[in-house]
Amino acid sequence: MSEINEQYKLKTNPFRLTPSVNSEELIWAGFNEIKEKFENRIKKSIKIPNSTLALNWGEYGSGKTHAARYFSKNDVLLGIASQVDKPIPYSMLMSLPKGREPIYSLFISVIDKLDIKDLKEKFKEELGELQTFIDTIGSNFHIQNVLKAIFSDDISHIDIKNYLYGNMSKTEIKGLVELEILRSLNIDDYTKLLAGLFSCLTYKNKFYSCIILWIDEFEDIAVVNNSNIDKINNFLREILDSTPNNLLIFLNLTQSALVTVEDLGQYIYESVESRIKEKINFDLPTPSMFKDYLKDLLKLNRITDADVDDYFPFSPNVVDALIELQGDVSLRKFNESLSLLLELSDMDKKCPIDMPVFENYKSEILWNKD
Amino acid sequence: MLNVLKYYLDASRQAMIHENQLSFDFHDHSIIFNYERFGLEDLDEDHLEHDFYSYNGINEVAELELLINKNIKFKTIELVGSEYLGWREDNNEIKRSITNEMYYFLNELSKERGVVAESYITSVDYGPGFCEDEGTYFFHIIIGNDFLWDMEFAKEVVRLIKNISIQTLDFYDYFFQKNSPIEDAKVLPILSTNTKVRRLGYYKLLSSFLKIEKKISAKSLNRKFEDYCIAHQLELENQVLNKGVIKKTATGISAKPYVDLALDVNILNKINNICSAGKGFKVYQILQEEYSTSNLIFNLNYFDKLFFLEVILRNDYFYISSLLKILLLNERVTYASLLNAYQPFLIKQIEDIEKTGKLLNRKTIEKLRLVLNRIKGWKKPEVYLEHLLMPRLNWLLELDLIIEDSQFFKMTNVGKRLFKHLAIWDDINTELVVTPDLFLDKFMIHVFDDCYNDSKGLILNNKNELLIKIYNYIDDSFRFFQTLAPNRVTASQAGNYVKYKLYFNDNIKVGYEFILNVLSRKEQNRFIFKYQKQYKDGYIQKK
Repeated sequence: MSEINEQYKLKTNPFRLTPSVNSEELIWAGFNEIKEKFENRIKKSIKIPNSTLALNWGEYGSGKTHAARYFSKNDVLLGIASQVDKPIPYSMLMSLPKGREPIYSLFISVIDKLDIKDLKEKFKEELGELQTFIDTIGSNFHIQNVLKAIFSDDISHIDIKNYLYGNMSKTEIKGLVELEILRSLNIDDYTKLLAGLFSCLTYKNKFYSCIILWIDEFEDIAVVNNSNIDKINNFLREILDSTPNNLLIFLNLTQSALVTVEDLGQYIYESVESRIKEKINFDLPTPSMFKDYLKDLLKLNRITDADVDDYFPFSPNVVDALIELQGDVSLRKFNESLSLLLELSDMDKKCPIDMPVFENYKSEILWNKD
Repeated sequence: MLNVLKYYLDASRQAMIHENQLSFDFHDHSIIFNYERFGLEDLDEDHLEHDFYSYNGINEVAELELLINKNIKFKTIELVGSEYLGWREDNNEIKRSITNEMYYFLNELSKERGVVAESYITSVDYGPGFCEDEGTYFFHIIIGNDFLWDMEFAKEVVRLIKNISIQTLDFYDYFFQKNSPIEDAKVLPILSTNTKVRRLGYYKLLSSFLKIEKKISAKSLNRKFEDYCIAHQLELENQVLNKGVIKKTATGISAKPYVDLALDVNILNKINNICSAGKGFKVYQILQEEYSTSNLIFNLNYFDKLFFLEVILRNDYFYISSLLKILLLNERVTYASLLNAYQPFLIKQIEDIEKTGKLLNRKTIEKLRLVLNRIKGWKKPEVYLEHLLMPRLNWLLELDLIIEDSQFFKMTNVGKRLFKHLAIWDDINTELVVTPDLFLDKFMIHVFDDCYNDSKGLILNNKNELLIKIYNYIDDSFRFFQTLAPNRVTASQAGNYVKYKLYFNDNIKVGYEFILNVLSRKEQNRFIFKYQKQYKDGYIQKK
């Protein structure tokens, strides 16, 4: 795509098929309504201390993962937090674990992302108060002592991480006697420890206003075994119960059909369902939504000082024709078609992309249509 | 001998000999005498035969005489019906049903004679490979040689051929004209049953039970359902069909066979040991209040019959259609003779599927053989068959497909009509249907209406009016089948809801598949409809 910037007045091909992992490349175009819903949800969770469970529904390729990555970006979260004069939320994104021990996997994902060295530094001055607060979290001394160890200077960040990962030998654990940590963590500890950790991180809202946990690909709950369906449901119930404040969990679900049940709702227990506070739906884009998105996306990728029409390099009737031909499809399908159209036109040096160009490539760019 | 052949010669359009066969042609049907020749004597000496592979006309009795005096021995008579598939596409051609014709002959001929056929089968012959041929669809009935020279039999056969008038129904025309099979997944639907599961009415109770106990642990379900059924024990005991009662037990063992079957047919759904109503049964639950209002649990009304008949055909097609075939072939039959006839019949059915089925893949053949070996391996068939036959006979009785008259089971007109439809399905595909799902998706309402309502249901020609009704009922379905996701209903629930509503509220016959097709149309702008073939379902959203 060598000449894209010269001919097409674009920095790069803006039509991504999967969301970028590079946060600088993650941009939000169009779909203001959904964006506002997320901003408001996050704002509410920052301001109001209640813990919340929210479901995000949509087709494959409708933007759920993109939303999760976009709203985990530091600058985006800072922006939202500053609107309500609160510190940034602590956000983590992970996929629903499909292994034998899903809760252990979730726990490990959180610990992986935890910068303990930085936390110890941050909470240094509050340590006394924090320890008193930790004493009020539940009634499990072991969990309390592990939480204290995460934040205190009595153990190095490497040692405590090793302990949390379960990498410490029995002999090494004996060395933690002074911290009153007398055993390794077991399967029943993970949820409680995470709940305690989340409460500590948001203590007094000094450094973090709330915790946002995105669990992507939650639809995979339909393919895990019975025991893991149980574990995942219990985890959600327990983590919300044990973290009464400042926790926002987003579950991303693809709305797939299923053979024996009407939807994934059947896999979510009532105890969890009753805790759902909000459902955000990624509807298939209407023509006008799609057009706004396209204009926005092109604008955000336009090389500066380019004075061209909104849809350039596409002529407006090409956009209309594509929408008409595609019917109700996900954003990813639109992106796929536009990406191919742009690449093919670029190869044959055809710019702008008007109806004759579109007609020429039509069969190739709609190959994916069922 | 000669007088029988002469009778056939006079009655037929033409006669010929060809490859050890003497055949009499009656336009769509023929009578074929198979013979064996001894020695090397050629028939062409007497100008009977140009050569062995030619079709040589026989025009006179003298020629017949010459033939029977040759060194040949007649073995069997074959009654054949044929349909050239190339004519199916012709709009004006009367749509025939080869399978129904075959059963018509089998049935009529055996009425006073007992079993006359040694074997019977339908098949397609595409002619010699080197010329392009649409194929001819046949039925063959091989008749035992007891009837070779039976003049009365010959007269009866000719009379039946001349009087035959079997036609398909209009709504099948399109599919005959298309002349391509309706997709058949070739997965043999078989239910394992316990002899106790005889009363479909208990599933009406299960429906109301599950309205109260929306999600119930699998462990306590059997016992709790027994408690729920107790109130109706006396009612059942006072019925004519009073077997299969659910009683109170300490372990729930009395309700267990019913619950197990409910799980097998997806009336019940189990996730992680929690049971709830299956997605199809939820449609029944919603409409039960409107259409199945009788307090008499063990009386099934039209809605109950339509729902449960579809469940049975979908999940148990192999056993139930085989049973219907035996019942049709026997004017009246006792339980004891059914016990004897069923196992060999099932074996024949599977062998016929294998023999005549087109495009059977290795996996399907392996599965068929597995079932075949299992059936062949029944050690005490009479014990096993009780579990198989008793529930099904009772279901057929409840669905008015058969009646029991002084220990004889007889097919009713409703049953005969249903049979006719299943035979037409075989004819559309020109092979035995194995998995009827797509047929049921298309024709269930039409079949039901023909069987139970004399085809009085309407086919609405005003497409706009129909579309508006369909859209409105789909809108309605959002009130009942809302899922966890906002603005979304499951397509199968909405589709079936519309299907029942149109039939019972408006007397309009529309297939489930038709409703989904309406939603798929591009001009349709009220709903988003997504279908995932691998799940045989999808979802609908309002725009």
